[in-house]
Amino acid sequence: MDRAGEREFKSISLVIDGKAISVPEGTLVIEAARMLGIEIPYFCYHPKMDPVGACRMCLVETGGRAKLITACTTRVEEGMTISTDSISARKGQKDVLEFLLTNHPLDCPVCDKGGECPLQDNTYKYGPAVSRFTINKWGFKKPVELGPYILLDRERCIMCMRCTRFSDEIAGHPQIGVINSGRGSEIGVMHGQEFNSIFSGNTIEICPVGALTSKHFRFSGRPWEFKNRPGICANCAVGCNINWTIRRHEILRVLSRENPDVDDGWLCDRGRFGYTHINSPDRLTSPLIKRNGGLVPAGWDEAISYAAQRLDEITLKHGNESIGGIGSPTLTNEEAYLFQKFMRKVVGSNNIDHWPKGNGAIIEKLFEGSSKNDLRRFAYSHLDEADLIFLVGTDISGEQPVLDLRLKKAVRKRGARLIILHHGKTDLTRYSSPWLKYKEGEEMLPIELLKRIILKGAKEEEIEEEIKGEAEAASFSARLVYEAGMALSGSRRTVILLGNNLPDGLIHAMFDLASGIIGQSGEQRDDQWISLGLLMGHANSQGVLDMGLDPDYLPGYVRIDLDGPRARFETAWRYSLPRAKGLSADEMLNGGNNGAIRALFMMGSDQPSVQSSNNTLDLKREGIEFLLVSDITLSDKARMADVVFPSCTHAEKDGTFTNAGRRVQSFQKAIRPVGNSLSEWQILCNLAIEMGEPFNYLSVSDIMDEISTLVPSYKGINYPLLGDKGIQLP
Amino acid sequence: MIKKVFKNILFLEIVDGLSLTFKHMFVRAVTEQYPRKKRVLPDTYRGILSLQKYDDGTERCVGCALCEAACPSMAITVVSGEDEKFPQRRFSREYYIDITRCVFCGFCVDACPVDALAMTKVYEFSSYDKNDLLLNKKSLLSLGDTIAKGGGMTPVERKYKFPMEGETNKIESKKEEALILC
Amino acid sequence: MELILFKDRSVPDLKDIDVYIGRGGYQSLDKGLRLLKPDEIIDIVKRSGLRGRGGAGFPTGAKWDFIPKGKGIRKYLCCNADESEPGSFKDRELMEFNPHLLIEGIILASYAIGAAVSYIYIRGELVYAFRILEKAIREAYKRGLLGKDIRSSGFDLDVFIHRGAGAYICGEETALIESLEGKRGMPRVKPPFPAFYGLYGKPTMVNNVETLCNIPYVVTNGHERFASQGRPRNTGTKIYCMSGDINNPGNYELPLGIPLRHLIYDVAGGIRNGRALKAVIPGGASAAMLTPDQVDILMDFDSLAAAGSMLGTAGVIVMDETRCMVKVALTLSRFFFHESCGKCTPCREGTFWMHEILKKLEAGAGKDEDVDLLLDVANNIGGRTICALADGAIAPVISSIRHFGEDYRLHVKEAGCPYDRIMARA
Repeated sequence: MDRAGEREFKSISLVIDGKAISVPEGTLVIEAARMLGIEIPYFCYHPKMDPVGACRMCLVETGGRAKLITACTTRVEEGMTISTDSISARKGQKDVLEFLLTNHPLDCPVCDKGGECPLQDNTYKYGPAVSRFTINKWGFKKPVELGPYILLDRERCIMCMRCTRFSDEIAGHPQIGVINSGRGSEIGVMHGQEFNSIFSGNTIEICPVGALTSKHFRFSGRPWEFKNRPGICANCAVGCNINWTIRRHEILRVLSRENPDVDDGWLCDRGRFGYTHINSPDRLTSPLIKRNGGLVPAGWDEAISYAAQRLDEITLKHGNESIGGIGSPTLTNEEAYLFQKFMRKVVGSNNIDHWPKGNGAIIEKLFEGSSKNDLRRFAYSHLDEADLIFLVGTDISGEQPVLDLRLKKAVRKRGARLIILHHGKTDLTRYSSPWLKYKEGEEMLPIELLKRIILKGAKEEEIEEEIKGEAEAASFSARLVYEAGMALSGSRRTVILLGNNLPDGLIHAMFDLASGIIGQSGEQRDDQWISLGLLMGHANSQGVLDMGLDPDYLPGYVRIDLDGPRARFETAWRYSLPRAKGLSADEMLNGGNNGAIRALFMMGSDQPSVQSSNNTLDLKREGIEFLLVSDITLSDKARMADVVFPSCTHAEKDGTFTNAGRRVQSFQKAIRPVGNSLSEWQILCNLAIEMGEPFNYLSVSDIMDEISTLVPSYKGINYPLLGDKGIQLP
Repeated sequence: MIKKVFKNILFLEIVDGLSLTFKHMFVRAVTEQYPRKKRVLPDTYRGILSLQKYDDGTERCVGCALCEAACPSMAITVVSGEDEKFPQRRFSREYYIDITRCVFCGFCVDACPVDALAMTKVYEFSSYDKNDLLLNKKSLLSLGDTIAKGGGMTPVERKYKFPMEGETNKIESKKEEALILC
Repeated sequence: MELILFKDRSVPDLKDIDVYIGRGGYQSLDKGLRLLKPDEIIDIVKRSGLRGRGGAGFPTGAKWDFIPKGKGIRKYLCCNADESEPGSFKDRELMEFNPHLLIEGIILASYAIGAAVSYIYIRGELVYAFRILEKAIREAYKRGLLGKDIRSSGFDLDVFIHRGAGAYICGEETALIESLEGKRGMPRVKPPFPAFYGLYGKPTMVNNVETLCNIPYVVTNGHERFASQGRPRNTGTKIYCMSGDINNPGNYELPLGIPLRHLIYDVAGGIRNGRALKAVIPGGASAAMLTPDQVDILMDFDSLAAAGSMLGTAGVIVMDETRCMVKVALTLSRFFFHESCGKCTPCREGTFWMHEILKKLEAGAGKDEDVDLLLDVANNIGGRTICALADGAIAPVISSIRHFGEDYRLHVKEAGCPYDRIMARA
């Protein structure tokens, strides 16, 4: 196992095109050249994969050797002289391009890659002007389907094998490979199988020609018509950085935007192809008001004043506490903050929550009460240093796929150890040593056993005894638990990740275990740390909790029933906050206790990620006099509503999300809002003003400034500071 | 000196000038009696644009948007998509030429890789409504149809439409090729 | 002259272990495994000057010396029996008539480099040899010549035999390793060399069948006796695979460095039908051709390399005056085009292109420019690929153009193959 920090790097100096540079030992020539800003053309090389030297495009001349060498496979040597633009190097590059083009069809006009194609670009820069290949090209039948999202055009393929290497080395799903040999080689899948890896879309992006094309994006435009605008993927809690490809305010495709601290330049298929709802024809374009049993379109002024009037009426009739608000974990931080402020200040009710909801608040509270520095809060970058990764009741491959790639990298490239505690088989269990399998719902048993091993020094035999009675709950042997326990207590850098829907007791137990390990060995090893995190379920599950979209907590996890900390908010908001304990989302959805809820404001869309979660919205309409909904489409809840506000998706608004690794990332409006839809924060401002409360925010930046003064962990965060890479919360 | 005086006295300049006038009384008039009479246009005349079809009626355009890229006055808009009738074949879902912006340079015709665009000899397309001058795919195709049906396609025109050298005008083979290309 | 490999060629049933032992087989093990240390064997092999018989002619002892020493490291020996070079058929004969000689060599070589597991990667088509070898290994296990504690020397060795699936490229050592690992047989980028990072990432030695068959003799009789045959730096004997238009084709074991003329006219009985010699390929399909005026060349690694060709596997293909060199180049280029693995661009596309041009020329549709283009394409392929397959593919094409340009010119001029016409008339 090599650890980046500990290996001594020898420095090697070499000269490339007359420029001298010193690079660490083991650097490839092509990387050294890139550091100097010298471009060496390549196709098969990829910085994240092992060199293969297949395309032979990066031929360079090196002093002392008669043969040209490939810059992408040669490691630097002391005193090397490389020339990338000598006559023979340039001729080598030209000749290779001529060979590549001999069987590449010249169908650039209908090729999706045309205009952003490395083969085109390199041909213009380094290639021959005319082809001497006058023989008929080999044709293949046009596209074959590799998988649900990918079509392969075999003629265009230049056999760089980036796709097969990606799916094998990085994704760990070797579903595609090279079949046949020589000139007839083609990329293919095993007979009767398909390329359905959740990371298959990345191969489209890394394909240097138009051989792999996306079924969704196919033929939809030419690169020179596009604009690429940065954004954040909202399909899960990872928060991958993306680029929206836009033409005339229409999202055509999603590309990755590398952020080494978040996504490492990869995307999963859910994120890459999950954009169709944005330009869906089902989008709401104007507010709707229920009249005579049907929802009819109305203007914004009308809808806002009607909603404000109804909310006022119900407040007068049934009191503040009869109004509830439920947000969605896809709301931005600013909107979540504003929504709870609206509910608490304008409406005057603590009936504010979000749905679907995990139990992330517990871990926040646990960390608040802990003072151990070595027990860190989880950040993605910890995975790159960890010796041991312990997954408890979470299927990362299914829920946070891009994080799964980071885990695989840690395990396969660095040799980190992975221990999984999960009831079912996941994609990662094959890398796990060991995989502790338990019966669903009985997850406390292995944790208790681990606690006994690690904290109480129980021996393998004792565990054996313990397990005997529980044969039904545990399908693992005492040896495996013992092994896992020993590994946990012996590891120096550990990352423990908890699933989203685990029982509260388990989170407490894991926290105790982690702090126990730290406490136990604190004297002997000072460089030991444990990073503990709970992986949230949705794009901004972490953020909405931080922003106090919770009946019990104000922003920053300030308890609503404690007078001291609450005073800060009362001063800032110049308002005496309601003290009564609010109702949770589940209670509100059932009409509250004995029909206490008379009006319900459901904010935030049912975006695909929320829909796909196992929860189904179970809203009881009886007893609720007024249902106000903001959504992007006419969803089930919108259909029941009295007033529907059309809201924007995250491609159409500004805001910030806080991801599962507690990194705040901002995104800007990429396209103009569809129809007359408005961002939720704008809707809230309008509604508040209508109800007599001046929410005079001009932009999300104003709201963020307010957040940064009130929420300690967000202190000092503002938009210019967030930049395009985001800020990690402490 | 004497010559000059002599010239002035005899108004020779006027005679000189009028001689041309009188000469033209015996020359055939060049004024075209448009619109009663229509001029015969040269073969390379660059009139309104049209979209072409193959002989069996399928569209040539593959929606590559190279014309859009080539157009210096940004008059062309192409929205490409997948042909529903021929799956996995690219075609232009929508095609617009704002002829009010067109400068009739013919770059788009040169850029077209499948010879779907052609310049016609039609120049009478003025209208009372500007909207008529935003040509959509349908109108461009029908323009192309009238040219094809009206016959009278000159060899030059043909060559302009099929600019590849040494190739027969056999539509079938061309179409095959274009199909392979797509 | 003393025969090393074909010593007992006339003995029937030599493949039977009793017969082999009766003829003095496996005697070297007693000396090699008991009296000599691994380093001493390497030293003897080094001093003997034995060079790899698989084609490259790299000194075997020096190659063994690259393998990291030490007991703790798992190391492998791979015997390259994937003999698929057109014109070469020596390994097959060795394996078929004398399999135990190979096994004996493998045991000594494994002992020398410290490998506990050895693989024989045999060409899939050599079914007969495979069966014989399999039987021989089984017999050797029974006699305690393989397995644990061989001849009570404390040395353990397991030998496995693996059949290839019919790819020429798997005769390249790194592709052979990839194929053994169960992957697609494609060469790896070197460095790292297999001696450091080979099979399953462990130090691996890949040796040819003929090389390994020489080891028992070297160990038993010492390096001086081995080096007494042949020429300096090209010691020992070599099996020459004689084929083509000669009277007596077959395998002949002779010392290295004998004149080619002697080989063709005396050993192989001269050219068939009394015709004149036109060209000789001295070392299997990937060696450059020689012309009749080069026929006095000495058949060893250095002399042939100096002449721009190579000894390779010593698969001597003789062609008489009725052979069309364009057709020869076409046939050979078809082989390489078919066998290119497709990893490196120049080889994958270039061999195809060369083959197409040659097809055109042979059919009479070529022009003079096509010959220049062919030469240029061939030169563009050379030296730009991972393995030597591409270099082998261009050698016959380039040498045929260089030496027999007249044939190409005639094809263009007469718009067809002149030899076809001559043959038809005859």
